[in-house]
Amino acid sequence: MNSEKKRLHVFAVLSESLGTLRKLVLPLGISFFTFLQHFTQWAGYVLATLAIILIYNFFKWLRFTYEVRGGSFHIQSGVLIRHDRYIHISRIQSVQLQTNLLLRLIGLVQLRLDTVDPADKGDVVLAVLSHQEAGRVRRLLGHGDPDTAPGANMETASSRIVFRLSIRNFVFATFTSSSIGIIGVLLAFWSSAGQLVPDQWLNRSFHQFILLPPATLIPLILLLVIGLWLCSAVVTFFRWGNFRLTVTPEKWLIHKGILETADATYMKDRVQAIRICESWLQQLTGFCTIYAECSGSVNNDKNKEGAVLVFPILRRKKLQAFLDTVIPEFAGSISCKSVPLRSQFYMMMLPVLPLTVVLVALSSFFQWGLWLWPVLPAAMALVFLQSRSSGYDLDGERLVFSYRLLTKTRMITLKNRIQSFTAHQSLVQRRFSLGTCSLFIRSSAGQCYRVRQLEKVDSDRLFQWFRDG
Amino acid sequence: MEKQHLDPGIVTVWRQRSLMTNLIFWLILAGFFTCTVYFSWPGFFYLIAGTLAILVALHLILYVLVIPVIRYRTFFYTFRQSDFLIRDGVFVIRQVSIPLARVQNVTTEQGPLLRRYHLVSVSITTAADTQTIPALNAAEAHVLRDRIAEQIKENGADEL
Repeated sequence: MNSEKKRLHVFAVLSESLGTLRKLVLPLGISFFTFLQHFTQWAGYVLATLAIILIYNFFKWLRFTYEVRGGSFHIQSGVLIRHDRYIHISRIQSVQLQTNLLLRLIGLVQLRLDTVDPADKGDVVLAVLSHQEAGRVRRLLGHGDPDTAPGANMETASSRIVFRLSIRNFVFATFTSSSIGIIGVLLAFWSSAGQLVPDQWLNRSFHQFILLPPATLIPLILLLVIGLWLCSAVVTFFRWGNFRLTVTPEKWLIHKGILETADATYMKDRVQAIRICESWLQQLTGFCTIYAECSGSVNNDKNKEGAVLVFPILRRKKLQAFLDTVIPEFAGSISCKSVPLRSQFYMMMLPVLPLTVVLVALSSFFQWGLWLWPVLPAAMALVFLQSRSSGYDLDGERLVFSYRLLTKTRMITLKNRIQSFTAHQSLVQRRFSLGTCSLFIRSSAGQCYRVRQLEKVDSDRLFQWFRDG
Repeated sequence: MEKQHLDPGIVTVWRQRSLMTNLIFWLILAGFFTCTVYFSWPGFFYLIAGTLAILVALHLILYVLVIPVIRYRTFFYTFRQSDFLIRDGVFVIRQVSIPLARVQNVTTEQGPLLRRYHLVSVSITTAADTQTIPALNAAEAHVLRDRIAEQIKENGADEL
């Protein structure tokens, strides 16, 4: 199946230029504003730079063509150095359509291809396309939305199942997920505040802030936290809004976002592992979030190590039914056999002993050291929770690992998706006949999963299970 | 197949490698000492130099005399019909199993030291991680490479 050579939409010139400009301006940061004050002196240079950027991007656009030829997708690019990239269509893992605000205003989309190459090699991006053109490319590559495909018959329509986020769950999701986002927003705010606001002013206002009586200070901080929380809730609202997961026999089609939308298709047989995450708030209220590790260079949700968000929030009760329809191979019981009591003790001792030494040292040398002691029970509580949640479950070809750093996570994988399996045993573990298991899964970057302090018998059993493949 | 040790020649290679690193440390230390004398840097710099000298000597004893032997004695590998096993470690014992069907590529490397003893270091890469056998003798390494290549050919369709 061949197609003629095509260029991107002309608007690419402008949007790419804006992108370049942003990359130039952002590092300048605050100095850019001082520079604006003397704008008239520099106007000539600025205009020249703009012109160069525009012309360069124009030629870039002119030289960028794509076509389908002999079963592979062929991209030619590069102004001075020509690049020819051939991607075999069967090797394309997923096709994603995304828009951002600017593109959406003009009704254009961005198309992104994921291949098996590791993420750092870069995705293949067709930066600006019209809707029809994007749909056409998608169909050519065999990742079309069966809804809009011309030959869609009744059979395909009936085998499609659509999951939507109910309003109630969605509102809930925006509020629970933001518990993590809040820290990010705070940090981002703080780091950018450091750049924008002169140090002296910051120091002075900080002093005034501290001098405020506690009666006004505490509500002020509370108000600030709540405000930030609401901010991050709004961000999540726009990112996850209108979430829709469509399941066909071979594919997932995931649509999300309100202002900036993203449409992605993923082949089901590329799924390497399913991760079920429960943050504390979700655990209390009986919800969970579902991610998938896919092989390929998926790199969307940067904070989740490139995993694919399958469904943002789901009642735990409905999880089994959900997995059964979404990905039957991975479905099944996820109740894990937890680690034995002695390993829970051992896990608690591991951080507690060194921490105690440090705290004793600090509190004997410094007055304020005494105030650090509450860290110890907090650490113990966290480790206790961690040890309570770690465990494994083996069920035929399916392996479930359960662990917690902060968020309780259960990882489901199949034997033939595990790349390598490692069993560790330290001296102390040998004494208590415990062992640690870890395995590597292929994803955008090699992903390592680990369960510590398993019963040695279990660790051996898992190792044997894997070797008898 | 029985579990196998590495080629015994590797102990010598490890020793020579550590010796080279150690020599570089001594050179740096000598430079530091000379500077201290010539530019009459404060007295406690001699103390620092002395401490560093002790550390480097310790490095010499450990990494040239003791550790290579222990590493040799605790490193095993096995090839079975369908998988490959590495077992190593002194305090923490590590056992890695890699099914041959998952192997993406096999890389052999030979530096000047390894070449003198006709050894080859073999890295086995899966889609997610890499495991290395520090030294096999050349003939054995090539047999291994061919065997894995055959396995990959057989399981060519298993590309997930």
